[in-house]
Amino acid sequence: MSQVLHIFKKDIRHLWPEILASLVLTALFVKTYPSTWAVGYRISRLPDIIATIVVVLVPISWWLMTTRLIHDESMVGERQFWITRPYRWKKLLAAKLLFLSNFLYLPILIAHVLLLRIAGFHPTSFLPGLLFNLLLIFFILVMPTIALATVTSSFAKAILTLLGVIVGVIVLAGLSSLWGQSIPDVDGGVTLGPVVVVALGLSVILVQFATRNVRLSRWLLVAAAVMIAAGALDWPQRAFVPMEYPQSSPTSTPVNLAFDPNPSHHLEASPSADDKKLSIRFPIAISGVASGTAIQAESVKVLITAPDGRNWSSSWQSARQYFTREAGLSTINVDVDRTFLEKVKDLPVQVRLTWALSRLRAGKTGQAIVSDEEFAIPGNGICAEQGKDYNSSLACRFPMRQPRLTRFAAMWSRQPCSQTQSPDATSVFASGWIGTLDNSPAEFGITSVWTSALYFPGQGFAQRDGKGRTYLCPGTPISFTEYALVDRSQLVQWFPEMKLPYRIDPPFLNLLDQD
Amino acid sequence: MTPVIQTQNLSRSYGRTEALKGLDLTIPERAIYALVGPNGAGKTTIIKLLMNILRPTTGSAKVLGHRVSDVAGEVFTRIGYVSENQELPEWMTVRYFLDYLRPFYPTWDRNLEQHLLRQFDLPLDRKLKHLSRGMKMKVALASVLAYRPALIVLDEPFSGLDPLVRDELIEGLLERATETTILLSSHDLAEIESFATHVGYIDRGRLLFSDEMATLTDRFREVEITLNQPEPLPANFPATWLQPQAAGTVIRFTHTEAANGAATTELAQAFPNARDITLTPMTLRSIFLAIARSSSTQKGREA
Repeated sequence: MSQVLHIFKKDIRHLWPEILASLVLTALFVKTYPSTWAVGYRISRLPDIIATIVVVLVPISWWLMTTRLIHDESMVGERQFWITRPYRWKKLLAAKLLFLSNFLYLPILIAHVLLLRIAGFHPTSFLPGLLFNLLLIFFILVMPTIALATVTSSFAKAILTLLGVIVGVIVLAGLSSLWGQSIPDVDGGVTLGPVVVVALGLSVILVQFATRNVRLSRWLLVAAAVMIAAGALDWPQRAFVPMEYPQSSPTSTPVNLAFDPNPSHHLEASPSADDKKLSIRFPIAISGVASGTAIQAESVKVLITAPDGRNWSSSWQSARQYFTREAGLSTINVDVDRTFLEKVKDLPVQVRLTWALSRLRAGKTGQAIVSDEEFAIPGNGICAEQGKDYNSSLACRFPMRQPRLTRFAAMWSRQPCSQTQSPDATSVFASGWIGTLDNSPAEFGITSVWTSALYFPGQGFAQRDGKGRTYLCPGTPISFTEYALVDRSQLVQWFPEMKLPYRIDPPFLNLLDQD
Repeated sequence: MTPVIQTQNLSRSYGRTEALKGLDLTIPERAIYALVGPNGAGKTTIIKLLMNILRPTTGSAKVLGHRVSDVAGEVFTRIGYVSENQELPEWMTVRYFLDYLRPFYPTWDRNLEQHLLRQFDLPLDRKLKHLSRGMKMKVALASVLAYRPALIVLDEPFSGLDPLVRDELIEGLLERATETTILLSSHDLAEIESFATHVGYIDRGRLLFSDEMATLTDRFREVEITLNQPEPLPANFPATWLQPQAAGTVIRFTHTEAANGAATTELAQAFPNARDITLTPMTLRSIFLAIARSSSTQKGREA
C-alpha cells in the first residue's frame, strides 16, 4: 500500500494544475447547470451558453487529467526511467485508480449529490443510481481514455489519437446515416457489443500495465474499434431482431392493424429528410389491444409490389408510436424511394408493412395535480408549466435517468384558466408518453438530473383566429400509468391495392414555399 | 561462483534485421564488465534485453538468478540501470527525485546519498530539466549507487560528457566497485581501459570475444618475424594468428594465444628461417582493431 500512496502523492504534486482545473470546472458545472432546467431554457441566453460550455469542458478536463496521469509513467517506449525501477504494476495501477477516485469520481459524485439537492430530490434515495452512473462514466469515458493513454507515448500523440477518434466517430455517424437502419431495440445486441468492447478496453489496460506489450494492445484497440463501428452500423443488432421479434401467429397477435379506408384519412406525401425519398403517410385502424396493455411500435419496414412484379422494399425505419385500447386510429409515415414511386404512379400497388412491436403491460398508476408552482409527479419527477410559448407541455426534471415508460393523461379545458371554469364547459382528453423501457438505476451522463417534457400532442396550440386553444389549468389532475415490457413480435400487415402519391401534397408544398 | 549475468543463444531481431545473434555471455560476480563495440553493434540491445526492456526473439538469459522475463518490480531493488538516453522525470527537482525514489529501495543508504550529493556537487533545488547532460548523468548515477545494488548496468554512461565529469562518474562508480557487479557499454575503448576487469567486444550483433582484461592483454601479442630471405605466408596459417602481412623479409601478425609461454618456440618451429622473432604487448585499442579487421576480412571472404 505504501507504494500506492507514494505514487499517488507524486501524481498529486505533479498534476495539481490539472486537478485544480478539473475541480473548478466541476464546481462551475454545479453552479451553472441548474439554469438549463429553468422554464423556457434557450441556448441563446448567456447563462445557458456558459452552462453548455462547462458541460463540454468537464469531460475534456477529465480526459486531460487522466491522460497526463497515465503518461506520468508512460507505457510506450524503452527510455522511461520508471520501467527499470521497482514499480509493481498492480500498485502502479492501483495508484492511478486511487487518483481518479479522489479527483474525478469523488468530485463528480459530490456534484451529482448537490445537483440532486438543488433539483429538489433526496440524494440518499438514489444511491444505487449515483454509483451506477459512476460505473457508466468509467466504462464510457474514463476506461477508453486510460486505454488510449496507455498506448500513446506523449500528450501530443494522445491529442492526435483523440482527434482520430473524433474523426472516426464523425465518419461512423455519416456511414450510419447512409447505411444504418432504425433497428428495433434489441437487448442482445445492446448488451453483447458493449460487453465485448469493455472487455477489450480492460484487456488493453491490464496488458499495458502488466507487460507493456504495445503491439498486442493496439490490435486489441483495433478490434474494439471494429466492434464499435459494427455496432454503429447495427450489424450485431440485426442478428438479434429475428430472435427477439419472432413472427406473431394470427392467434397471438398483440394488436390488429389495418388500412383505414375512411376517405377523410387519405394517403399523403410529405418531404423526407432524404431528398431521394418521399414520406408517405398511411392511415391505420387499430383494434384488438387487450385491456391493461399497450403496444409500442418500435420500427416498421415496407414492401411495395407493382402488378408487373416490380417491387421496392425499405430497411427498418423508426415508428415510435403507441397503440392503446382507446385509440382506434393512427398514422404511420414511411419513407419510399421517389424514383420507384414515379415508376408506379399510375398503378395500383400492394403494400406490406412489417412492424416490430413491443407489448406493454400497465403497472403502477398515480396522479398529480397541476399547480401554478412546481409540483411532484409519480416516478420521482418534478414538473412546472413551460410558459406561454410551450403551453402544450410541462417541463419536468427527473433524478438519475429519464422516467420509466409512462403514459400520462389529463383533461384540457377549452376555457382560459383565468376564467371561472363553467361546469358545462367541455374539456378535451389528451394523453402522451414519456420515458424508456430501460430498467437500469441511472442513465449515462455527467449530470444526475435529467429534463424532459410531458408533451400532450395537439393540445395548447391555437389556430390563427385563436380557436381550438385548450388549457391545462391548475387543479387539473394528471394520471400516470407505468408500463413494462411483456414480449416482442413482428406483425405483417397487408394493405389493399392502392395508388400511392408520388409527389408532395399541396399543404406541404405551401410549407416548403414559406421556408 | 554463480554468474550475475548468464545468457544462452540470446538473439533479437527487428523485422528482418538481426540486431543480436546467439549471444552466450557470462559475467561473474564483482566484475566490471565493459561491453565495447562500434555504434549500432548491438550493445544497447543486449542491455535492454537483460533489463527486460526488450523481449528476446530466441534464447534465454538470467540476471541475478532471475529469468530475464522476471526482471521487473522487486528485482529492480537489486539492479541499478542508467542509460545515456534515459528519460528522467524532468519536472522533479534533484531533491524530490531522490526523495521520491528512496522509499522504493529498502537498502537505500541516506549517508551514502549525502556523500554522493557532495561528491557530485548536485544542485538539490534545481529541476532535472534545467540540468546539463553531465549533471543529469550524475543524478541518475547517484540515484542508483545510493541503494547499493548488486548489479549496476550502464548504457553508454560517459558518451558525450566532458572528461572532468566522466572522471567524477568513474570515481564515484569505482568507490562502490568492490560491493557490486558492473556491466557497462561503451564505444570508446579509452573510457573503460583503465578500470574494466572484463571486456567483451561486439560487432554487428555478434560477440567476437569476452575475456578478463588481464588475460586479454596477456594473450595478445603483436608478432614481427624477420626472415633470412623473403618467403610467402604459410598456407596453414593458424586461426589464432590474425591479420598476417608479409613485406619483404618481414612478416607481421597478431597472436591471440601468446599467453602460453610456448609461443616463441611455436613461432620458431613455424618459421625455421626466422632471423628474429619479436613479441610486443598490445594496447586494448590495437587488440580490438586487429579483431575487428580480422572479423571484417573473414566476413568479406565468406561473402
